[in-house]
Amino acid sequence: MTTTSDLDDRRPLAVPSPRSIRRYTRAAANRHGDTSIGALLSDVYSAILMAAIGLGTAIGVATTLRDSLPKVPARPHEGLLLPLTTLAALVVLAFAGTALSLAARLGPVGVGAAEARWWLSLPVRRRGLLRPAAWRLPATAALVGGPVVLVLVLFAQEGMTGSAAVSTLLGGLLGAGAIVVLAGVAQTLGIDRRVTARVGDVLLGLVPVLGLAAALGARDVAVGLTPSVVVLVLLVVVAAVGGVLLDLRLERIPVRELRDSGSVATQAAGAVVSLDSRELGRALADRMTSVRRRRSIRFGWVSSPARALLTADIVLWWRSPRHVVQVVAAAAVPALVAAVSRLDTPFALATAYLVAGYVAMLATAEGPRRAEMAPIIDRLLPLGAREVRRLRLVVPGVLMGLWTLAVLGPIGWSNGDPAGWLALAVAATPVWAGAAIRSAYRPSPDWSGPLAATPMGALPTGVGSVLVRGPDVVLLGMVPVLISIGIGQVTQTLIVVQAVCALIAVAVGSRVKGFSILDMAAEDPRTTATKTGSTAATKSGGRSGTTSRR
Amino acid sequence: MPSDVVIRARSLSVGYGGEPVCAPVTFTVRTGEALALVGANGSGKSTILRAVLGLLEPSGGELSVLGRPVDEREAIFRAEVSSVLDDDAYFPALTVAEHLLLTARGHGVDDAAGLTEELLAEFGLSSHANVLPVSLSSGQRRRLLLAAGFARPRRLLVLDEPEQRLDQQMRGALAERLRAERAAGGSVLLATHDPVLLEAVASRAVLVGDEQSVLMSPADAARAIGAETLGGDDDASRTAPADGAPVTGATASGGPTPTKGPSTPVGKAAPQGGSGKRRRRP
Repeated sequence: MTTTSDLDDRRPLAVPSPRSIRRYTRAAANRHGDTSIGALLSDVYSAILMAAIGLGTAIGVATTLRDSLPKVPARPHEGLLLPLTTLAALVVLAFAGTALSLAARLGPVGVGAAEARWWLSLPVRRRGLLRPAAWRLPATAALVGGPVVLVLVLFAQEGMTGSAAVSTLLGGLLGAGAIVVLAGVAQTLGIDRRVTARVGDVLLGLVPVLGLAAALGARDVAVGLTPSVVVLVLLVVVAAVGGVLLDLRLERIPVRELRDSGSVATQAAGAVVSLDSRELGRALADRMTSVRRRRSIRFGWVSSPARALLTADIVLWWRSPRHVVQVVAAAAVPALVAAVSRLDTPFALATAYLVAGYVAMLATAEGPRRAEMAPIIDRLLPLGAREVRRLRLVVPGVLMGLWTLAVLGPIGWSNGDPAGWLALAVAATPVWAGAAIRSAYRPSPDWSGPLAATPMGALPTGVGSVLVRGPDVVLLGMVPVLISIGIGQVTQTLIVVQAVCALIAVAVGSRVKGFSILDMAAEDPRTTATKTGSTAATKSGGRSGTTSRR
Repeated sequence: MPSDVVIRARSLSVGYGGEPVCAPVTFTVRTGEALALVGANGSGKSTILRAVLGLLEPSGGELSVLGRPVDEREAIFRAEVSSVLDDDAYFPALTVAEHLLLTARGHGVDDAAGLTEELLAEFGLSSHANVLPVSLSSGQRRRLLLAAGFARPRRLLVLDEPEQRLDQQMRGALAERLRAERAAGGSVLLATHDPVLLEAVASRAVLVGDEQSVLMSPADAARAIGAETLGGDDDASRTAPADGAPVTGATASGGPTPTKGPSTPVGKAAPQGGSGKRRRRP
């Protein structure tokens, strides 16, 4: 029996190497696993093949899109002007900021609960235990960053040679990897991850500012996107030095930090696997907020349950600077797209409006998105479920109202009819609010359903119908706006139709039970079968639509 | 001559986000001693343990373990300090025995297989040696964690409410094991709500509270727990051990004699039975 006296003589510890501990754990796990080497190789082959097909497709789409763009501006520009390459450079900068912010939020070095409990308590050098975990995220960033930058540059820059493409790929690969490695070095230095993440957020926030500045001031300046040899060498040096530093300093990361990062990464990975963007947002945001406030709000104006609910949503949004920045930055995207002479087409503008609007909309609905998981305030207050949802329309409605005015106002000004476009913006605002609530309160996918083959692999039927809740309202409810952008003018009919769409969107968003038209269209086939009287579906466990709603 | 002081905490303040969860505590644990932290739920017992283990930066005061500032990043610290907290985490594909073997071999134990067999038998897990932890009951998983705490060399054993999820028989066995630990020269720091375990194992106790932390005898601490003045919610912990072992005799036979007599206030005033508003961790 081991006793405490074993350590009294202070003999050097005869502990195994970290590598042997990892090997022991892996071997023991493999003995109990049922994955054969053939299945493993098959998975690796499939993954590589899918990645290659995906990259090839992306490159093809990018070059086709580039070739389809007009060689001359669609219409004469009198205001802002931004070269396409400059816009691409700004997107690369946004990608860099996102990579840094994500890396800081995920650690980047972290371990799971089991590793923390059973590995990190051993008296072995942790560097050897942590090395695989430390290199996982930089390698992932590099593998994603290289192709993303290459595709982006191929879209923006014509006549790219093979060597230039290789340089661009290497630049993206090294740059993305270096960013995550530097985030890791910051972690080993004990720099608060919130600080590192904020640097990434600032880079992201700078993108629209720099874009507008470039559009206003440097109309003839085009940015070269292919990295030179000097830049590549510089990136190699940064990545190598950072990598060595990270490796040498792995030992200095406290276990609490490793565990915390591992916990975030596990939660985020679970959210990605289950296709739950709400959970992903919570995973990346929850540990980034300070646990202490300088002072507490007295809430003197809260004199009713409705005000309490509204106040809770407003405070939650305002205390999350990332969401504030997200709304503001998204408002600049359509303007930037409109400023690029070759992109100034109705299709590009409409796409930018929808995508940027959806990104902003998600940021305004943090209250309901959290309430869907933990309806704490909702249950404390004497409010009915339908009333809660109607009240929750207010914050997204107000914020998206300002956003829509900021986006459609300039378009109306450039089209010579600001009043008409502002009226259209006001009529369109409730659509965003309804979509925000519908998206926030969507149920979790039912993963127990029968599998169906999809381009993303086998997925249970009904998953897609859940995931499109929110985007469906935006797409259908914004048709009048999209038509207006397409024809470049606003008519009274379009405004009236938009107002009707807004009413429908609000009704859909605040619906608690039962079926709406959209629900019917998106319903699980088993449930639909039940509703149409299929006894077979009933026997197989099909639920009624009403009871399946939250 | 090396000091026999294993833990020295002086005005140790712990908390989260700069907010202390309890009054500063001062205590010393020497070789062969067992110190129990008692107090209501949320009073800060576990937070103090986390600070002692280097899992939380103290917000004030002095703390040293085995004569050095606490730094769990040092291999020697991990070699000498064993801990069992409430971290119910396991490798999903490793069996019960493999978890213990991993711990023993990772600490350089010569006869890891033999020690693992002994511990499996002692903690009633022999029949579950080759199963995955996911198939264990909550109490069995707790036994596995406790067995892992003993599956390695150590000079200090830190336990956070080790009685949780254990049946009475296993609580008695655990008390015996901890008394043997002290007799062999090991030191124990534990947080507990169990007056029986407290009296059986501890040589002294610290009542952790909001306004003051008070050093007292195990008997006084056990009475305080038994009188429900601490707000403990574990009814099972107040029942007598199943084997009917004489608790007071066990205390007297194991290591230094517990302090008798009046409580020794460390903070501002005498204990008030754990009343007052509690600070919660955020």
